[in-house]
Amino acid sequence: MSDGALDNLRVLDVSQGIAGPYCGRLFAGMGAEVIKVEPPGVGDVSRKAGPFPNDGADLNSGGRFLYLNAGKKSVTLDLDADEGRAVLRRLAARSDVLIESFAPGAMDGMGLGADALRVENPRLVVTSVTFFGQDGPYSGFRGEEIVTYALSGAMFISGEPNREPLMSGVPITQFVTGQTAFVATMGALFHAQATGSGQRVEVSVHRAMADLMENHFVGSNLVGRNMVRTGNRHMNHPWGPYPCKDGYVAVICGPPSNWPAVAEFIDSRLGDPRFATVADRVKPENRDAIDAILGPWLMERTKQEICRLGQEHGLAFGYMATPEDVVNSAQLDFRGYFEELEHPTAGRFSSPGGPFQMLETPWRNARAPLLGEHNAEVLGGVLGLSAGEIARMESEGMA
Amino acid sequence: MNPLPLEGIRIIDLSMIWAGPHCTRLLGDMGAEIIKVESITRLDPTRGPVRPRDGRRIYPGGDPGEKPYNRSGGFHQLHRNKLGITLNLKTEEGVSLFKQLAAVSDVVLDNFSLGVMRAFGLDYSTLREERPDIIVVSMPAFGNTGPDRRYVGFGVTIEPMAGVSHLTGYEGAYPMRSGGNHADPVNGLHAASAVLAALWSRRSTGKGQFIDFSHLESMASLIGEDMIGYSLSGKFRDRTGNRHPSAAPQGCYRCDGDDEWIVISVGTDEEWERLCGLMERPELADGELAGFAGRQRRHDELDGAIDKWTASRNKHELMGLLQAEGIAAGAVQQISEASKDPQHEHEGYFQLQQYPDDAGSHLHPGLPFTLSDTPLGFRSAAPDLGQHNWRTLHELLGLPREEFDALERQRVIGQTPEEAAGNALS
Repeated sequence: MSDGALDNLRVLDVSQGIAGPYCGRLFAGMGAEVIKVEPPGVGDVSRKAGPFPNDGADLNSGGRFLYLNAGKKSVTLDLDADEGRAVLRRLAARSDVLIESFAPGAMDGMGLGADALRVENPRLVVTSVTFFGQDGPYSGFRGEEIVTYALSGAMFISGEPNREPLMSGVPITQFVTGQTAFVATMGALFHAQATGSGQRVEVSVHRAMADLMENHFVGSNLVGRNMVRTGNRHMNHPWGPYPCKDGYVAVICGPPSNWPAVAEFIDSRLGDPRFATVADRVKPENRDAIDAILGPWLMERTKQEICRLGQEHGLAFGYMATPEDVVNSAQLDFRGYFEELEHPTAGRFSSPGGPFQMLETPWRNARAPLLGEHNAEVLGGVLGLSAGEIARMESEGMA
Repeated sequence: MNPLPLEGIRIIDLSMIWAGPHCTRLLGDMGAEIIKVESITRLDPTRGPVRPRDGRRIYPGGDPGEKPYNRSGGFHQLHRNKLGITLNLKTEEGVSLFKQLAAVSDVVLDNFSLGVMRAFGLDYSTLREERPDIIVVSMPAFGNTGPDRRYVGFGVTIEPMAGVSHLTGYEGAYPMRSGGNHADPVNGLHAASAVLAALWSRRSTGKGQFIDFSHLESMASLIGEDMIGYSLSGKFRDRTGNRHPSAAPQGCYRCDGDDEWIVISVGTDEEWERLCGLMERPELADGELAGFAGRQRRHDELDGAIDKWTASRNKHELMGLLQAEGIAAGAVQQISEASKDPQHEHEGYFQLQQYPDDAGSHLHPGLPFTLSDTPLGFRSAAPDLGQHNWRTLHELLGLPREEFDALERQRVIGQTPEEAAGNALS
């Protein structure tokens, strides 16, 4: 068994936040050597984001950082100084990929642009992640999760019709950008393998998120369909969250061909012919009539029990799992999704595995690095700097 | 001519609806040869019904034409740059041809429920006999093992089960679904990542492998920090609507017009001071409101002040004004507005897609990224049903004409669907 699908790659991850680091996480989990380059003293901005194990915050123990940077090595380098930049250039010369998330043009301004780095290492793939692209009318805009969600069209159609539009509870626009960056970077690596030539890969949160809305755009472009917010109501019914005894369940009565089962295991009144087809069930009076039958039955049962009953009858029921439910999931436990890891400052925790399971090349679940933890290993081992030089750089705030 | 990144890679795609097709759309866009396998008894539901009964479906100009299953907008978005064949895998001949195809392919991908591929006689061990280094991606909702392995799930099941819906909703209220249904494309991106990594690994090891893809695990990747946070502290966060844990104020504010909104996120004290200047309310930047903690405490009051200022203004003009001051702000665009977004236009994100017959060309979302030296685009339109049967079965696999014709007569292959096919979603 190999050490991972990508164990012959070295990735220099100069990015910060969520999108670029998630791309780097995928590389690290699949065995690549990912060297995270951070500003000395402060590190990646996401080191300041929680959730923290206790009330106190420290740069090494936040949940976001631990997750996004699992399995990477951390090297500190001051890229505002010539010496730091020279060291980065030397690392880039020995790497396959560089991921960065600076403002458009900033890497060029530091003499670290793709063209400059590829003089010495023509095979290098340089992946740039921005909120709004390298140029164009929005390229100088300030990005935030809520902003890219709003611009994409996704927010307008989320939430209750009589309230303000609602953002997602997870930073989805930035995650899909990291995923997109990974896919695009892999494409460039195949090209580099075939031709010996790397290239620039450009990914923006704005455009990566747009791709999630592809079907909505097609409806708008072809027939002028414009979606509105419908809260938890769907064009099928019942098809969404309902309260139950201990939380919320997702009552998804699909595939629709299995609808007749609900009369068997929920209430025979649901077998009424007036509810027979999807077109019947979405009529407002029928929605209400169905919910009036369904509601009390759900309130007497737990989310897990309802989910199991629906699934046993071939319906795609689920429930609104909390983070606690997910961590304690029997399904995930059976599949070995979590691994217990020990972290020097955060302590012991269940570390989530990869987004998929490759049977020959399993995910490498390893802890995130302390700030600058691998200065000696990388600067010494990869570049051959002496212990004295590294110590000097650290004392001068250069590393 | 610079070769496309995935040129020379052949992928057989049995997946349907969205997640799997989105995966192979990305791989096809990068130059892999994607052979989509349907059956004339079971079309991809995104082709729509064989005889549409209502106007809900999306066809160019709203016209379903004579062969609606070749004109559906949703199908065209996900199947450009792909070939399409039909094979009835419930027949011996269909299975035999599938195996021959697998023998000359790199990847086989399906998103059937657990056990369907085995029932066809096409599970991983069988396919590996045909092609020892084959990569097989199997993506049932909850994965191929475990107590819930037989559970069925759509995107609307997975979002809740992965913890995303619990975190989405207005403060103090119930959990909500995303209007856009994000699970499928998120899972498609992860599946594409898995395929690329397996192909990369195979180049150095010579070994293929089985990828056990669980939609639940893929989607749960989006709450990584929450899983770790809970594990470390025994606590987890609740719904906070449009607010931010370390930026205040942040919210969605009413603008001029019906259902018009802007989002604003104030990241620093300086930004807040500038926003107060724009609103001509400098006093709101004084005292405890000068700092994040005070603004967080009095968030409702500040929302009211901002709402009052934005209510009479145009959301796009306001976005320009705020962004010029370095404040993160964005218009809450409707789908129709986002599809004409000036940044997308600048990047040429929407591209013209050719439809069959007289249905013309229409703008479709293009590539979500740019590769500087290998420009990617739409090389071919989505395939008509069974369009590439001859090319694949005869030209590639060498099936003689007489046998090809016989299979057509027996309806193992074909270009017209059975009347009952294609209604799975309606």
